Amino acid sequence: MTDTDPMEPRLRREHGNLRSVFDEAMSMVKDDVLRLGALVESALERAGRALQERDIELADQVRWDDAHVNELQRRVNQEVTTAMALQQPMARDLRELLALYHAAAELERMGDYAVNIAKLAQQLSDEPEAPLLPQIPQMERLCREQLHDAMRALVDVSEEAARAVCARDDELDALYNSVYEASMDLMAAHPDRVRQATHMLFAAHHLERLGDRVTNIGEDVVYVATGQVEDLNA
Amino acid sequence: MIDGLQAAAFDALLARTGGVVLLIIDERLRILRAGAEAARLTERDVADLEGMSLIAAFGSAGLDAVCREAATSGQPRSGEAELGRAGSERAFAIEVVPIPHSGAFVVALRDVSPLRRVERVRRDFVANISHELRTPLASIKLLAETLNAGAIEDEATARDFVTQIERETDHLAQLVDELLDLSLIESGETTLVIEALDPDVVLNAVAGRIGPVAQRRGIGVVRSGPGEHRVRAAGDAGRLGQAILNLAHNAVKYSHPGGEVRLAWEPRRDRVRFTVADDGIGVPEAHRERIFERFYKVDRARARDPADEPAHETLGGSSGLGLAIVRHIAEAHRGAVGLESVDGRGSTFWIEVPVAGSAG
Ligand SMILES: Nc1ncnc2c1ncn2[C@@H]1O[C@H](COP(=O)(O)OP(=O)(O)O)[C@@H](O)[C@H]1O
Ligand SMILES: [Mg+2]
Repeated sequence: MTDTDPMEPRLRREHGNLRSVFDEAMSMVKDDVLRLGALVESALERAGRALQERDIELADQVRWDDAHVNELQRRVNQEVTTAMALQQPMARDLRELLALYHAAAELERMGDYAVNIAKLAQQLSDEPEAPLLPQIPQMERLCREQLHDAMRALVDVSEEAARAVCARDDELDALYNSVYEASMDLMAAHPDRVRQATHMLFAAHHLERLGDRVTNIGEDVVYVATGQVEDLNA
Repeated sequence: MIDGLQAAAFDALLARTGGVVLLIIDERLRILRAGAEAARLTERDVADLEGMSLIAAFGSAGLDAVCREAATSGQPRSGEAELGRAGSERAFAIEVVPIPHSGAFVVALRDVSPLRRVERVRRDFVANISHELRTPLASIKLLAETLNAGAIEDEATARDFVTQIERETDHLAQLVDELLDLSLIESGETTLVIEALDPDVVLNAVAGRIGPVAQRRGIGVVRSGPGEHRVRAAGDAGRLGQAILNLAHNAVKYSHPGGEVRLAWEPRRDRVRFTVADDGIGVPEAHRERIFERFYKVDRARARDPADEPAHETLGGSSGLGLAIVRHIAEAHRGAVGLESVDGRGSTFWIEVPVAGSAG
């Protein structure tokens, strides 16, 4: 909302126009970042399913679709750079643009992790069939929930929701540790399954890293809301 | 943009389409109007939704893509996407239709997850059948090959192999019978011939058939009922007997040698309940809900345990279809099935059918 000052109608109108042009640009950036989040969420879901169902084709699809993620991130970068140059935003606007720019970069990396998991799904399906450690689908699901919640916190610029996302990262770390233990046990007990155990450990590792990047987005939201940079992944 | 008349039409539509998620969006994929179902699905207020972008409200790449196609082409588009909270998403069919001369679009989302679930079950079903059929077929082939390769010369081995072939063939035949039964009952193509049946006569017939099988395993069969009575069960004698026999077969199969199987019945309000109780291995809590699904077995490893071999010899292998047939028979009678069990201590399975002459 702009102040109404009857003394300067012309200026007000122009300022109002600038404002709405900027708002328009901002919501375009924001929507594209949210789109990026939705693409990554879907990539992660399919990578997880490929892992569970030994579905090589689905994994292939995830690998191909990553190009869309990269392209969309490039577009966000461009939109942000243009908005900065033309509008020279200040204070909260500037923070929001920077946060979106940063979130897009994090999401692009998360897309890469989903691709890594898809590749592991393909390697695992070359091995004799062995049950997947149950923690892995749990981690995959938790990651998706976290990502979903983080994107919603971004929509609402909700500091509280963002902090909640960061706090939940511990669950993911605990699951990762338990996969670590379980795969070590598996290797010790079944030397013929070392490769499977290693692949599973790596999948869990990527999921754990992906979770860290989700908390980075949570930190971005807190930064927009408060102007403070905090490390919430201690 | 939409005018008052279109908005009124939308509200009228909303009032008449419960269960369908309805929205109006503009060509920039912003929500102009939303209904209560949309609010429920996104866990937001209708007022919050209006003015929000589609991607912000639903966070779905799939929904966004379908609506974008409609917006850029100005044509109706349809598709499907998973919507809802991560981890508990449901599949929705998407229809996007332009509102003429307005630049706006109606988006309708219909929950099709039950349909998708059914399709999945069907896929699993086919996969399961082929698995179950392949196992005995493979051993028959192997036995025949070995015989051909020279084992036939050795009388004792040959006899042993032929016996095994016979057993595998019996298992296959049983499997095929059960599958046919199941598909007949499931398709609703069997018509039950409902008569007023004396529960004692029903149980006697079952006892007569399970007796010899139980005896071979050293398991006793005990019959009981409420004694003097005039209660009649409304059932198809053949099908009801088959259902109780399936339960009795299981009771014998999952009993320890020397155990006891108890067949009984009792009137229960407007139904007659037949029970089959054993002191066998029991059904762990976690499996009780799923045990009536076709192909569901508590523990494949245990079902193939060599310790179970004597049971397999007399009762055929395990298909995981028996209880599915029982449930379908019960449902066809407008009855019910269930069980009580203490893991490791035994189970009591029951099937209920209406009392003859009661309504329904
Ligand atoms: N009386 C029982 N005691 C213990 N477990 C049982 C009993 N009846 C059925 N079950 C369990 O339920 C599963 C499904 O039973 P069913 O559909 O009859 O298939 P099947 O006996 O061919 O395996 C069995 O595999 C077994 O694990
Ligand atoms: Mg059975």
